[in-house]
Amino acid sequence: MSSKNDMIKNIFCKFFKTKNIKNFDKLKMGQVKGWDSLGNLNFLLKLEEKFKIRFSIEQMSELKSIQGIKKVLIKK
Amino acid sequence: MTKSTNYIRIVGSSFLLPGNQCWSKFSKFGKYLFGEYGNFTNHIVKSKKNETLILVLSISDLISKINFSNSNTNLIFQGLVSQLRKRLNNSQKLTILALETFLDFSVVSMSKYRPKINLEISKLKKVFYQLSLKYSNFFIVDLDYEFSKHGFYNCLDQRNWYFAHCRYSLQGLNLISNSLKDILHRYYNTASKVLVLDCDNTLWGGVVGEEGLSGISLGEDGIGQAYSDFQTSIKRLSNEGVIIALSSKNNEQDVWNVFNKNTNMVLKKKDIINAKINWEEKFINIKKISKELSLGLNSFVFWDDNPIERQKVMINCPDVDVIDVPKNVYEWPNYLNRLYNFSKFYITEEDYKKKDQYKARSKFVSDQNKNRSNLNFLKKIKIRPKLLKLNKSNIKRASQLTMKTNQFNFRTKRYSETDIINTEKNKKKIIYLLHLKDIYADYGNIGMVIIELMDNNTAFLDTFLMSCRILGRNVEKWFISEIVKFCKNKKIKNIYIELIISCRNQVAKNFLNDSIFSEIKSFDFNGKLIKNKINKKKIFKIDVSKFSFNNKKMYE
Repeated sequence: MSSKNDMIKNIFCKFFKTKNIKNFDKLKMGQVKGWDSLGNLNFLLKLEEKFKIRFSIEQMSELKSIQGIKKVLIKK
Repeated sequence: MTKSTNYIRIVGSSFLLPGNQCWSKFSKFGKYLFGEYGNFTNHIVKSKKNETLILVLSISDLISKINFSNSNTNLIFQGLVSQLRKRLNNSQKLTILALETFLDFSVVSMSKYRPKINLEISKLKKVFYQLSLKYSNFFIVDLDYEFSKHGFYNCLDQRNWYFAHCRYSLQGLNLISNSLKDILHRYYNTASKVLVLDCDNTLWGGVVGEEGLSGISLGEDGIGQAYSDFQTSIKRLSNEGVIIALSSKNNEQDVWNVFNKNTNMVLKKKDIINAKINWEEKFINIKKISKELSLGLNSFVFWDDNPIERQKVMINCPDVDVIDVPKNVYEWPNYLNRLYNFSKFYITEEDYKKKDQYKARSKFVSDQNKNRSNLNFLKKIKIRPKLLKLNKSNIKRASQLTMKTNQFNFRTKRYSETDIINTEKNKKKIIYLLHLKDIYADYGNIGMVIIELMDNNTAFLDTFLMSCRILGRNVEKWFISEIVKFCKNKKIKNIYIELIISCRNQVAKNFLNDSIFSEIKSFDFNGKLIKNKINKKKIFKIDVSKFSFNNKKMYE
């Protein structure tokens, strides 16, 4: 499970070009530069590609925090 | 003199997800920006003259969803074509249309009732293709063709459409951006020129030195047919002007025996422009071929079934494009057919002649090496250069020369066809092409100069280049003497030459060692001071009154 956690963090940092994020698990859309609604959509597509999963249209609109994303990804 | 930023506007009939990483590869071609989503046709009207325009069009965004084929659809199509025409008439910059026309209906309805709309779409496509033939700066990416290779359902995405008005999946977006990148890359960079091949287990199955002439696998059914088809693909490239060379660890006679005696050989000995069949390392042979053909290693592609040989070439000749060949030989013919390295927008007359010209070059080099006096040898071979004015028939070649020539090219300034046409309109810029023939061949147009008349006393060589395949004949000296003659007639006193040092134009740099050129520190270019920069550029001057050329008669 922790490897999946690390993977999400790595993808996130690379995607939004950030380093040294504190309280990663508590991050929400809007708190990192570039993580707006379009950035969120592109990030979710990246996660789909990396984890070989597909979010439902409802999940695409609801997933706007690391906690929410982790919940879905770790369950899958 | 400074390179201006290239702006690329990307406009989609559906939302293209700006910021997605698939688009980041465009940054190497310029500054890219996305048109606001909505009103696709309007964006074509508003596009700026000096921007490259990329249009990504899904036909579903244009047609009525209830009654597909109606007069309204026709009007929309006509409106689109008319706006596109306006853009193409107004802008000399590149315009690329990526078009997808997939309609998702049952096979039954598409068999009889729906084809009416398909006919309309086909007509529209036909008009686009006619425009692409008329305008040299307009290109079409057929997304139907690209998507069909991977499956439409994998490339289109209904969820993304209803969630974000984007018609494509990530895979679809990647395919679109990669196709567009390929077009842009080829527009600004030339295709590879030389294909170096191994022989055993590459041109035929088996090792001729061990299994003998009759033991190798070639032609007939099964895998032998795959080797034959691979040779057919190579032959097609050869006919289109790609130089075919061999680098094989073998006994030379064994290889030529296969070429001469095996009736299933599609490739003939005459198709091979240079061959190094010996027990030397292949990277050494490739370097020798490069030297003999006067072609840089970065225009070479290497194909060998053996991964160890490939690895060695990769390490020792990093500029050579080493193909990671598919494991199965039956995949090779198609793989080579679609290989990006050799794909071009056009095959010109010069391309068709190229094989013979490089053969002539090899013969020239070998005869030159046999002759003790180079001057006597050059006198014997009846070199006949002449200058030609730019005209409709040689514009394409003029652009091609600026795009392809690297070694004897002083500024490596690239010109598209439209750039050439625009330059010609400027009365202060005079363009000449250099045509050459000798007893070995008619080489066609192999050099080009753009003389910029700065004021009554001075001229500047905006472009001065010659194809490397005719070097060694001292034609470069004749060429410069003709430029001086032209300037003298215009009462020009000084000609300025700028050498912008690239990693590939050492030959041009060496030419400037001639005493006719004197290096200077700077000169005034239309009010701007152009200075020498260590390791980047050098400025030279020719004093027209002091110029002399002794061997002129040799070229008459």
